Amino acid sequence: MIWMTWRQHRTTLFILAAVFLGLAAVFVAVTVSAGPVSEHPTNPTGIHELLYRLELVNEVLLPLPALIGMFLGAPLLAAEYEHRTVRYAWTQSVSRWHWLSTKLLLLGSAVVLLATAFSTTHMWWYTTAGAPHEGPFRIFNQGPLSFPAACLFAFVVGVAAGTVLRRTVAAMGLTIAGTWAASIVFVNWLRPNYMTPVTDANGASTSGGWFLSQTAVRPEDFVGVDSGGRINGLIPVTTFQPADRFWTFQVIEAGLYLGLTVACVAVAFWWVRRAVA
Amino acid sequence: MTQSAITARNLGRRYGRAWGLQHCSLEVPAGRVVGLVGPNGAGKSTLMNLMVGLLRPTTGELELLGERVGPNTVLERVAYIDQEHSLYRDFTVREMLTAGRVLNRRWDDKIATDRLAELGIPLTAKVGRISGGQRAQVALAVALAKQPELLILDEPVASLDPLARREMMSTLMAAKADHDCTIVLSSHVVSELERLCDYLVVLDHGRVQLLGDIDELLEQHRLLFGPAVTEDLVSAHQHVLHREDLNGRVSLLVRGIRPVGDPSWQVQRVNLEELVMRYLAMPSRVAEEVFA
Repeated sequence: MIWMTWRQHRTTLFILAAVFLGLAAVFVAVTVSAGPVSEHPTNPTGIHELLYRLELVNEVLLPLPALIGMFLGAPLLAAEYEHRTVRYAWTQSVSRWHWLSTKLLLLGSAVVLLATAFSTTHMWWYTTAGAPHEGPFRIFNQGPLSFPAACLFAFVVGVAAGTVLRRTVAAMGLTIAGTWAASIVFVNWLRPNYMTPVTDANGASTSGGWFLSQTAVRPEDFVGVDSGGRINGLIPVTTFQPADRFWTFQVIEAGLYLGLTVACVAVAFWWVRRAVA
Repeated sequence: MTQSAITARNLGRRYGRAWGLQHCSLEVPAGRVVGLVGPNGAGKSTLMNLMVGLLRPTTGELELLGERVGPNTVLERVAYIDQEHSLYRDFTVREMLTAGRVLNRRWDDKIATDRLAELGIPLTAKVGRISGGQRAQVALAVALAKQPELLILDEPVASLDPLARREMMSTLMAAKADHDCTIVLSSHVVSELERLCDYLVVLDHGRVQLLGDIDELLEQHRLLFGPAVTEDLVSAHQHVLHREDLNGRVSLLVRGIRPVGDPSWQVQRVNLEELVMRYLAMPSRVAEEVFA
């Protein structure tokens, strides 16, 4: 089965490896060539500015996990159904269960390795040469733990979609929709609430933390230490997640993504078990 | 070798509200070449899919080579080739053999390579680039390398041109001689199977209409031709299965050999195609009574 997995998916793996390891190499190269952190300008310039701007594309469209889901996950079963090769694959001595679990395990490991290579080098670049002053929360999606977990999730969404829909293109579409919907839910509803946000009066700096909102309250409604700052007679109050919560948040988000991954894997197995080839 | 290659008891498979196969009970001895015949949609593929675990039965049970077949289980001693000879088209023939080796516990590479060398099919060719006939031969070589005791082929020649059909059939006959396995193959054309098979199962509307050793079946049935006016007198002493009107004369398919006693009537042996057609033409109920 190891040979089968390699033979059937090597082209896709080569392309994904080229993309992820290529990006990792770029981050290593520009970080090394940037020199000591103390000499960096406050705002990214040159190549760093370019990478910084490309960051936004990744942030909004989440193309990298979706890429994995579409091209590695979705065809895993859908292509076999389309070419009717399941009828060959599932009538050999190797059971469907073994067939699917080997593929998921091997390809899933490859996904995690590639994604980790990208996310760790990216983090290194961002926090040293890219935009060290902006704090880690800005690149939370590409974080060292959450990003590989999101990639793994996208992969199994693709697998589950392909198992159910049996059409590669349809499964790709569902994969994009699924990963996108998940990321919107994570960023907007779940992530801000992993821990109770800190509220700070007087517009104190979030110091690299994640800014959530700012309101103004009347002095008579204010509870807490009032340092005297006023805007139009009101006390400005900032709500944010402090920067030192970054790793805790990474662990929580990775855990949630892994939970969803397990659910998708369960769907895929359940569907394959009862599937009529 | 086991006594029975296929044993089915009240096997049934329902698709939604329609039954693809129903009340299928049969026992096929090992070592035979079994022809599974019936019109399209008769349940041939359903029965074969049940045998190789691609479908799970709605009712009943199925044993192959004395072993119970559960859902999603394929017995190691069973090989299956589907209608399209589905193989990985981007694999080379050599890679297809590697796939067979890694996916099966029983595997003899030499069986496949010898066979392919004999047919002049290069191992370096891509499966998607060779002709349909050659692809069928590759599928067969890959199946035989598993050293199956039961080889199941779903419409093995339906997609092939006449020449490739002949080649495939002779390869199958040679394979039977070399490996002594039980072979089950389906077709909706009886003449395709006549040369190869020695055992027959006729399916129609998801039910078994007729089954048995082909020579015995031909021996047990006769066609009687005579004038319609004396039909009642003659048929009173016969076990008539099916009748056909031919302009004032009738042709009766009868089971068992009894004297006719009327010189205006002719008794003829029946050929396999005629026998199958007559059985497919009779209502299911009649056929069931015969085998009750």
